[in-house]
Amino acid sequence: MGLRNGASVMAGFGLLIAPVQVAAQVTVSGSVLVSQVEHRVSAGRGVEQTSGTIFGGAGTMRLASRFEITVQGQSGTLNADSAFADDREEAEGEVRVAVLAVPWLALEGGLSARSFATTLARQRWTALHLGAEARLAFVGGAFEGRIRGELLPSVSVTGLQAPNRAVAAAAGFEWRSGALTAGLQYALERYDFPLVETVKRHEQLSLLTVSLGLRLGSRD
Amino acid sequence: MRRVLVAFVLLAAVAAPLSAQSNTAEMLQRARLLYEDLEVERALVILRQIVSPASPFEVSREQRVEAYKYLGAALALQQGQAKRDSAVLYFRAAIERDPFTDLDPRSFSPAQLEAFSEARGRTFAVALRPVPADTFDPRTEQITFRGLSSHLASLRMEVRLGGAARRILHEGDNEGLRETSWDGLLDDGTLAPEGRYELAVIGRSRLIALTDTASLYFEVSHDHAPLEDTLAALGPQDLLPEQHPASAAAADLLKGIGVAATALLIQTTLTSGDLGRGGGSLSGAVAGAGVVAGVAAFFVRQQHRDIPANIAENARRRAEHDWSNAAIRQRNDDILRETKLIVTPAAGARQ
Repeated sequence: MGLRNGASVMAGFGLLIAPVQVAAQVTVSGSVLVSQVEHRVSAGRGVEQTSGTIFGGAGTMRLASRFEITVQGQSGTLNADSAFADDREEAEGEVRVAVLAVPWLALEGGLSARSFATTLARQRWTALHLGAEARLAFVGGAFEGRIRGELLPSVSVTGLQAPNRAVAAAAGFEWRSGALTAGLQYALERYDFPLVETVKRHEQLSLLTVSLGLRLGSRD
Repeated sequence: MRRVLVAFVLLAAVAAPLSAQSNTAEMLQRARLLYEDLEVERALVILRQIVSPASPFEVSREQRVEAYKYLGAALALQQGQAKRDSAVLYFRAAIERDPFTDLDPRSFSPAQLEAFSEARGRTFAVALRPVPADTFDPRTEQITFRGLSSHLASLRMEVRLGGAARRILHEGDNEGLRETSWDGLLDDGTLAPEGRYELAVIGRSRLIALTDTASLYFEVSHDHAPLEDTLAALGPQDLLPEQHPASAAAADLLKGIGVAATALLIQTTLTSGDLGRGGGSLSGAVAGAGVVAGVAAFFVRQQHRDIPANIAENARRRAEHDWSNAAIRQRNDDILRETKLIVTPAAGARQ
């Protein structure tokens, strides 16, 4: 599935959410993100592992208690943890749109772009995300547990065939107190590429993200 | 046999004049005409027949009073103290039966008026005119009641409800007719509620040692635009729960543990075996935080079950409900302030 097909799916998703009436209720939040990243690749030479801390930020605008747009970006250096790995600079960005079908379930779609740059080359990734996130409020809404599952039906990677299986999942918490928000999330992305000349490539990105932010506007 | 013959003759003698006078009204009319033609003796015969207990016709109270009045007037025209005394007696009989009885000075002679006045002085009675049917606005109008004492007396007129005096209309000396007005209010200034009222007059003669009372009844009803119903009290279905159920603490614990378990599940099942899994410490951090959050939530929920947002919302709904009812009551009060009283005569009188 190519990026063009992915764009069509996104357009359909947009039509799905179009009837949502946007009211004057607007909430804007911004967060600082710090992520511990572990990147693993298997491409016939054993497992190449890099890890490191990346930094960034995210902004979310919530309309009418049902419609959310999130933009986030992070970058940092991943250091080689194995013999065949190289240090690399990672930069990634994502735009995510969510519609809360019910207060505890958001249907999500998004586009992400990521690059890994070593001294020899730069690899660019783009992916379409479609999924759902359960939001489990507890302690009277001060805490919210979040569990997300996504399919990535359209992934393109420079120099590689598109993976024939790409999934992502996450679990974490968000805490709110007045305008202050904080979060902790574990996320995993897994990509299984098709067999090419007896080599089957696998890539996996694990992230533990800590966020700290402010939330402004009407409260839901 | 002789007795039967006498009775027959007497009946025949009486039947002759009665045949031309079919009822009391006609007899009374004929007596008045005779009186006006100064055929006093003939008028007296007819008038005595009317007031006689042996009258073959039914005689109403008014007709009897009229007959006594003309008997008194006819006898007052005749010479002699005995006639005058009889005139006074007949006038008294008329006044006792209807204290409102009076002689028109334009139609009766001074001698008649003097005899009538003496009769009044020697007779004591109080009376009330029937209450007229009326609708009036208590803010601007009044209803008039008419009472009377036959001569100078200490008189008290009052409106009673449930046997108790609720509004005194007149209290003081009175002689003759007394008109008094009622504004529809009770002594405490409130509007007379709907019900059956008694208008009573109590008189104590200043001339002779006699007391008399009279009363009659009337109904009071209210006339106003329809009133609005106030809102029913808020029930459980109208309010939000103000406390979390006891099971909420356990549910929060499960949520925390659920997120923790999911983090571990992602790490153990979604990661690739070809890549050696990995990320265990990252997912473990979230799993640990989930357990801590769940346990903390469990204890917090057990100790703080109130839901402040719902409590505030319920307070707002109660205030809105109370405000709406206050507005309805205000509108109803405005309507009630424009209430008109409908007064209708009711059965039952004591004269």
